[in-house]
Amino acid sequence: MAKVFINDVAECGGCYNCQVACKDEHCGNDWSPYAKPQPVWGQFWCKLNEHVRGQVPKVKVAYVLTRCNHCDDAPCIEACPDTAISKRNDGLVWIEPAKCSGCKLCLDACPYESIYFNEDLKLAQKCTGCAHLLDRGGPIDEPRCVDACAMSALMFGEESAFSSEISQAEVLKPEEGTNPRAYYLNLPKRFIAGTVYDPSSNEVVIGATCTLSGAGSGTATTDEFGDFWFEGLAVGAFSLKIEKDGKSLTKDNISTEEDVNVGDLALS
Amino acid sequence: MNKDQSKQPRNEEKKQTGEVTRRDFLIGAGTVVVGGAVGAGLLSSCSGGETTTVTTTKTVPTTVTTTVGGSGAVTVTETTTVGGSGATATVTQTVTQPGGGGTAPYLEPEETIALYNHSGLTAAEVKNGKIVRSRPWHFADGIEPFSITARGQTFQAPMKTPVSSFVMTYYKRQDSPNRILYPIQRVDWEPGGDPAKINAQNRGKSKYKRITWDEAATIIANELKRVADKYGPSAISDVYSGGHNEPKNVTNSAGIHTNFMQYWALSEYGEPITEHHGAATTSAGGQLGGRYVWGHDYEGNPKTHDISENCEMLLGWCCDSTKSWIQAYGTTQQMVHKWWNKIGIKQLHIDPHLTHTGALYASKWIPLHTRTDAALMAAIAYVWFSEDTYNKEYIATHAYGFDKWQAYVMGTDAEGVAKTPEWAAPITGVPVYTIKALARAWASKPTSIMNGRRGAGCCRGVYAEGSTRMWIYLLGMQGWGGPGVCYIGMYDDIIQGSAPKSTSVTTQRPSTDITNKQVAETGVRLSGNDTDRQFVPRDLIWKAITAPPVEWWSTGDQFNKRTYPMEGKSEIHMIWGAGFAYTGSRGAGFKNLAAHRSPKLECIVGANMFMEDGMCMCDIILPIEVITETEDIFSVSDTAAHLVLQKKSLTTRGEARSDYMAIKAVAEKLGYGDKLNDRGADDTPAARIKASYDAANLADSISWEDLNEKLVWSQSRKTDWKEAPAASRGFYDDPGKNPLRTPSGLLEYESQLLLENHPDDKERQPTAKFIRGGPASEGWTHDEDRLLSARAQDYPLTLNVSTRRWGRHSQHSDIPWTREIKYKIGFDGYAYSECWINPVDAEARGIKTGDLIKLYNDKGIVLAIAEVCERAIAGDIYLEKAGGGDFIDIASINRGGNGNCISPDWVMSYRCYGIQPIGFLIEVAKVSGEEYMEWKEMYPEAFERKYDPKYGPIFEGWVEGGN
Repeated sequence: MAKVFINDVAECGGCYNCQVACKDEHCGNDWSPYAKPQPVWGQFWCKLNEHVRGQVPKVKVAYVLTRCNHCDDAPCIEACPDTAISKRNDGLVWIEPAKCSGCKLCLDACPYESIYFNEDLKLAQKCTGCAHLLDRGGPIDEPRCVDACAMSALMFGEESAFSSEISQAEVLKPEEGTNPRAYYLNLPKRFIAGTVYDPSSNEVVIGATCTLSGAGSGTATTDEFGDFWFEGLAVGAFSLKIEKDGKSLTKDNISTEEDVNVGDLALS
Repeated sequence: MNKDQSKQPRNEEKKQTGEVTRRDFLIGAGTVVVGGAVGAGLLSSCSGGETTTVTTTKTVPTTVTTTVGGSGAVTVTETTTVGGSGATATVTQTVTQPGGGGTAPYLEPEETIALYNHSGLTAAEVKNGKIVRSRPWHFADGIEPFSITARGQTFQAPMKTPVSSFVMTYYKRQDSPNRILYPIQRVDWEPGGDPAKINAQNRGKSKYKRITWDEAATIIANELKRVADKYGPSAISDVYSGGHNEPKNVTNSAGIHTNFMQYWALSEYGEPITEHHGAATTSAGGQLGGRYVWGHDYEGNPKTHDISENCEMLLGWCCDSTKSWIQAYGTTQQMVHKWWNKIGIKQLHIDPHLTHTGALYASKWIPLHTRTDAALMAAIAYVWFSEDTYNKEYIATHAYGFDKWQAYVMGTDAEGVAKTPEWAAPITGVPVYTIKALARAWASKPTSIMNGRRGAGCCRGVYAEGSTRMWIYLLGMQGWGGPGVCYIGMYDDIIQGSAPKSTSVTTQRPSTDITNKQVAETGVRLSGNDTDRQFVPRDLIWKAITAPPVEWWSTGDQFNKRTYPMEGKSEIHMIWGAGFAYTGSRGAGFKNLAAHRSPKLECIVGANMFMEDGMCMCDIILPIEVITETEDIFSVSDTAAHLVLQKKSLTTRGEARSDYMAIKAVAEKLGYGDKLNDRGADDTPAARIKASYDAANLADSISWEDLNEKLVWSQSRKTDWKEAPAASRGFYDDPGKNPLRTPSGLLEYESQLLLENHPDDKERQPTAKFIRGGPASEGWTHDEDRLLSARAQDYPLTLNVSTRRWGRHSQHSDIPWTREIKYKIGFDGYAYSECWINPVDAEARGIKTGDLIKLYNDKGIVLAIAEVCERAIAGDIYLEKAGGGDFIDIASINRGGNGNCISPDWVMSYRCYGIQPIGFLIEVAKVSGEEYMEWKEMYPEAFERKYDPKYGPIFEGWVEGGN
């Protein structure tokens, strides 16, 4: 009976419907006993984070949604001295407003910074999974963020129904060991990209073989614009070799601390 | 999407969860509906107290009322038995409710209404007179939303309205603190026209006092009479810039004041008032350029299927098509773009900035300097000519004047400059090798162009019409109209297909009644193309007011030169407008707004919902209802087509009235209150809604009673794609039989109309060219070229301005939930717009992300917060106008991010009456503390005015005693 959230970053269109629907459901609305209102401004029980990756003109933008991960080993539950935080049978982690004393210990305990403190109400608050909607039996049978998602980027349901997605998914900060119930597909890694051209002819070089080594390896071939892309890379140091018709060039010490456009490379 | 549901159609899903409909759920107080596997999410905590057990089974459609009571904490236990006579599973749920008895808030009854949230349909739930949520409207059973099948794959739109966050939350504007709540009069203005008592110089600065509707209507009526008696009715104008108003039907939207004033003036004086003439805006490139190539402004529909089936490369050129979320079809754009990627259509984006669409869906971004698109296109053509890779057979039969274009590109014309990639590279910033690669990729595969929408489009900027013409030139060179060679233009909706029945419900607008009465009683039928009556050019209003005469060219018959003032007509001395969005949706914002400080304008009346944009230039302001405060009937087209009955859901705030009732108040003072129509007692919104329904002839499809029950009647929008070839295929197949509406019937690479009518226009020439402009002394309208202009010494950067993703123009900036997505708080606590600046430009100016910066030129200053980022190229600045008309000084300093404030004085070019808010020279600098303090001293009223970063400027800040 346990629910999971699936967040597919590749499908997300960055429309912010999820973030705004959460505000629509929870700001100014008192869903007692499940939740008191979320502040109108500046707090995000459901937050869409924009990441601009790369450098001109090899730039991509990724949107990664974060909200409470409803962890099976939730540190917030342990940290709460008031037993206000509990794990429901359906897997949702719930901060019971009636019991919360406002001590803020759960805010520090959460490795995902998903718990906010409502200064007006002196309450710790976070995503409820819209449990008030699920429990009342209709007509809305999924969290508002999922209901509002324009793409198929957000899904919610029984864990058993998502076994294939979960088998390919990651969780955020697995090193924290909290066993989140929010799974992510296609989380952006790092890329190395560039363009290869021949300075003597002032033409792009099509079909050059690009070989990456170091913290990962792979090969790519330049396309009709002389472009090559290596995606899904780890963070680390790489070397890049480009070859075509006996000409070659090498670039060492490419760091993927950030996504990298190595620029327009002259193959001569 | 719920995974469990995704496997079956929504109607099936409903059957499985019991026969409980949305409306069933909402019946009665203290009602709990239990159906299907509710209670699956169990609360583990359990506390003592009185309990009530409710049991139901899946097979019994039911609503069950819980009985709760007693003092202290109340516990309700709901037991649901799932299954019929066979195996059952019982789950128990215990909910701790706050003490005192009664129904827990989450169980309180809600009423669902259909809400036409400005431009899209949502289901809104209302409780205790308040909307508690607004969400996509789920389609009724049997509706088949928009789909396309191509390349063996199908795109299927979901069974719910594809609303954006903007549409979902538009209702929040109802309780915006920037709502105009009652009629107000500027404190230092008196009616009567005495210059000493007008204090025109204080417009935009001085505060207002509250007056009654009766007082306001009396003042407006008396001023109309006084001005018309003194100068003639041509001294009265309806000029305004509304940005975009709410699309109300039966209570009318802004604009009805024009209908009424014409009726009154023609009846009383026998001549009309001076209506405003607006420049070409969103589609300016097509209107002022495109039509001279292919005879119309933009290519028609359908073509989505043709692109999906046949196009291999889509060039998003000055295009941000997925940003157009204000439309009813909202997020469908992004779904289709995603699907196009999945079926293998390569998307490239060519833009100075990495647009939202480009960032998410393009496989390649080719940045170029703002307003150099025409140079890039000429160079692409050069490659095609040089390598013989264009469709000569097509050109031989489909083109007129092609030799002129070829001569220009190859440098064999009088100009003598070959438009080689080497020529274009330093101008555009695109490397020679990339220009050649782009030209070859394009020539090698069916390629379509996507242009416009809310991108940093170059089709409505300085000299922009030439770019639009060249897009068509290049498409023509590759066989425009052929499979996969299309143009997705400014207004094109990628959702195509029509509903079986028309649901047009616009016939009962009060404005229509008024104009009908006017025509019947005066015998005068006015047209926007009239040449014998006076118009005033809205987009050159500064010139009309401060330095007349002014001449300009119509946007309809563009060889019809207009002049203001016309002989025998008065200059305008009174304006009754609606919104005054000069700085948000028009060019030359400061100059156009500041002109309203002229004492020539003895009375300015505005009517609006919000104290936004330039409303503060008015002397009298009337408060108008928002759409959620009205009842109405709408026709909505998104991925399906809907007839929507919208119930009044919210109590009208303050003393706001509908636009119709606002003009009626004035009409009554002029003796026209009972003359506006012949409806008698049926002159009510409810009667007009019923009349609209009756006039639509839909009784066979949905009865009036059913519509009142269901609120929305939907139809599938379908197109038999096989029966609907791409819009331009007929011309492609046989131009003789299917000629274009050009004089030659062909694509005109040399426009006969331009050659005949404006042969000496060096800006809009018969053959489109890359126009760079220059000093006025040499006969140029604009001098904004970053490489050639002397002005570039002081202002070396080029500014692109675009509307933000969560609003139209500068409006809608008072919804905190969309506002907080991108607004940046400055050191002064003010929420500013974000401005993208490349790290190279930022470093050269000592600017870091988060700094308060000023974008400035000789027109003034616009403030923003710097976002140093890689989505802008060096030399080109990008600003989302977001904060609206919030000014430190109405004539020189805007802090709402309205870059339009400092765009050039004149329109697109001398003879092109189109807006020009994009592609002009500026400089950027960090605002120093010293400069900021100087502004505080110079403009104390602006800094003292009440403000809330969550909402922006607020109404109370403008009312005396309200601060």
